[in-house]
Amino acid sequence: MKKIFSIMFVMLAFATTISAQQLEKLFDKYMEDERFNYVFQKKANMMDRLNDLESIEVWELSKSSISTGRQMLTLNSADKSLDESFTREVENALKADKYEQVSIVRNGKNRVETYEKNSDKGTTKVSFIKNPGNIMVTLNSYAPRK
Amino acid sequence: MNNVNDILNAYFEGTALPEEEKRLKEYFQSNTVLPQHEVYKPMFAAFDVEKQIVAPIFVIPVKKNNKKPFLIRKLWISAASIAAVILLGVILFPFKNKTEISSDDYVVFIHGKAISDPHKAQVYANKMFMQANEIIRTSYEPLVKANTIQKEMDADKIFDDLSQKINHIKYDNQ
Repeated sequence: MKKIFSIMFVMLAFATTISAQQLEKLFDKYMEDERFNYVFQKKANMMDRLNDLESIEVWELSKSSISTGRQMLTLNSADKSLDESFTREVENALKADKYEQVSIVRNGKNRVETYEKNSDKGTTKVSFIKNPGNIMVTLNSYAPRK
Repeated sequence: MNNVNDILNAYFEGTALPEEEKRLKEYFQSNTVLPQHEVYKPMFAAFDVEKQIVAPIFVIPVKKNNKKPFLIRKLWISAASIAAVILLGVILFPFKNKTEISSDDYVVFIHGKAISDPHKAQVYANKMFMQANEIIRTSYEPLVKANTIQKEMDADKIFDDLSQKINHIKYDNQ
């Protein structure tokens, strides 16, 4: 019985880890794809983070946390079906990783969605920008300041 | 008496001799001054006091030694030298920090091709992140404006501000 519980616990932990990395897997999947552009910065410096600031809440977060990297995936394509399938993949990954939707802003044909996830390891923020023929996904990770 | 009158006339005309002036002074210092000459007595007494006033001694101020002690001067020279070296370093090597970018600080793929030059990767990454931030910022601008208007038009806040102003005026009038 004890063994079964141990195996179940390990499987649950494994499944959680796998599902928590869906979005990052998506980045890995498309980073070298010639239809995409990929950018990764190991650690956003203070000036970069100031550019990210949109509100006092973010400023408070920036004071209490350290950037552990940010990455961005861009798709510039005239292929509508590719746009749609990539959008679906991102949305599924966000759901699988249990991101909480913070805001949606529609400005003409431009659509910006922001997502956030808090865990013991820190906070992850995702911006999902959708324009006709242009899709951007940014992932910012922050660890709590010790 | 006529003699004194004559000398006085000569004195006021400025033609009295030094001996005559001396006689006048002796006369006015004596107790035999006639009543008609009493009006001149304070004047000659004042001349006498004036004579006693000693001119103040004009002392030429000693020139201060403005030279700082040797140790302080030496410290100043050292500090200035260090500052000059740092300034020179900043001027001559302004891009030194750029060479310190590690190859794994930035990973950039453009249409499947990796950018191996860390400087180019940094420039491209910054450009891309800035572009994304700009899109987000412009998208949220109407929302931020709406929030600001909502805060400014908050009735509770307006009434609180007004009551504070009224209290302030009342306090000033008291």
